[in-house]
Amino acid sequence: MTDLNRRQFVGLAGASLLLPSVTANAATAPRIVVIGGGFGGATFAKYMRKASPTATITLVEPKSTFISCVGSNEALVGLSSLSKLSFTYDRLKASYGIKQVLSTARSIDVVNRKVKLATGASLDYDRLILSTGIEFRYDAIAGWNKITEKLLPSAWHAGPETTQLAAQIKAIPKGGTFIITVPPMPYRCPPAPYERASLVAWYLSQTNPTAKVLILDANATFPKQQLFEEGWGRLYPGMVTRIVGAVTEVDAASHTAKTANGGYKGAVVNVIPPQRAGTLATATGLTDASGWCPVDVLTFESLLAPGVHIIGDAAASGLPKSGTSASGGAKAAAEAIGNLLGGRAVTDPVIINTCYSRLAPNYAIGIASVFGRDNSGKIVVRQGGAGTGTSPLGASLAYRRTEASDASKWFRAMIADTFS
Amino acid sequence: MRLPIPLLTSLLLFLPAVANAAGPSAKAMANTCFICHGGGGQESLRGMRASEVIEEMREMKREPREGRLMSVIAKGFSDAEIKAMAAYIATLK
Repeated sequence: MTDLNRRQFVGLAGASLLLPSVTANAATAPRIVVIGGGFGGATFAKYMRKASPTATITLVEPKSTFISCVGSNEALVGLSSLSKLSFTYDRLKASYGIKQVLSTARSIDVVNRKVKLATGASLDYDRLILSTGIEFRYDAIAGWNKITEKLLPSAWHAGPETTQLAAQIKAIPKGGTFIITVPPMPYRCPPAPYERASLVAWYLSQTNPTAKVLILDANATFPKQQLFEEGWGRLYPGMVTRIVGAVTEVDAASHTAKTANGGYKGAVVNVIPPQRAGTLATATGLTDASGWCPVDVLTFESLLAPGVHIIGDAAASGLPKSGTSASGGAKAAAEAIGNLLGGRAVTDPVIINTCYSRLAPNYAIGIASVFGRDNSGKIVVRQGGAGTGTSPLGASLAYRRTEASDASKWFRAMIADTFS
Repeated sequence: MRLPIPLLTSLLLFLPAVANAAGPSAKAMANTCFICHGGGGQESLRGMRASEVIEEMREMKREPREGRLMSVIAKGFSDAEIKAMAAYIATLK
């Protein structure tokens, strides 16, 4: 038996142990519905099964293949590809007895605990998990809307827009400028605009060395800032410029972005728009004035609708909006719901956020934080703030190369933890 | 200080909602590891003895250059928590 076959066999054996109990208790088994199959939703489904062998777990996700945003900056410049970032739910379904409904959730009745699907069918739930991520604020930047985004793709969802933006970058004329606009926080994956700027600089340094990268940033500071700036100075001297100032207007025809300081014209303008929780969350009344969903971080249950738990980017949990935080929150929520279903006390959450950013193929930097919950019910760094830190500043190129290898391992393990 | 009875009652009702969780479980702590320690990632934890996990975590806390980001993560757990997590990890098949 090959290693792969053995693993498949173990997966099937596990499924056969789990499935009969699900079937046998179908009438009384708790019904868990998960909307959204990203890092949050997929991880939740898997860990919910680990927390409850009898629950029926239904994942509402219209796509059969997930394309990871983590790694998509690498795909943008040819260091990876969308196919290498694509994963199916097949193993989750086979190994953990999870049912996928290939449809979109249209509405939620939080009183009668029902999800209405685009197919017209509806699903009853005892606990609903919303992991629907972000939506763009199309009204935030004048000139950037659902029509002009076809010309100025954000590529903030990995997929066809990644390919489209890659073609635009490839076509930058000699000495042209790649402009990337960064929205005010919070937005999905805080270090990612700076990683993208770095990798575009790497790509241009190979093919178009007189080209420039300009970051127009709504934020005064950003994560891993000193490490990024050190890297830009080392790897791309004179090539990357960052100007603080929120972009208020863009012109798709002339490739111009405007801030209070004036207009900036580029060969490419990559608009990363301001963000909020997805429309389903808003329409269900799960969001507050911030545009995100307030939750009790002990269980990730909504503060506005009982029985609905919000994990991942859509939640205003105090966690960073990252894939690993979504995964960590999903595990914490699954553990809490398992305890609630079993009539046990809920224990404190613990969530690790780990994030690597690649500045060049063999140069990466990282940040990690271990989060818990304080006595007032807020997410805080554990051990009195000791459990957080970044890669050291001033480390050797050999160290950054080791971290680039760590980054590759991190991605592979994250995918394995989420999808198998 | 003497609090009026209704206030005392409401405090009693309110407190458990905030303070009913006494630290994370060993399982919850161990579950956080698998985001990096798993297929194709950093060293697998399955098959490790509790004493090995404890020693590795201590070393990570001591050696930030060697441990890299893991040394940051190790500092997010107390010695008692590491002991509990290690005991749980040792039971994993």
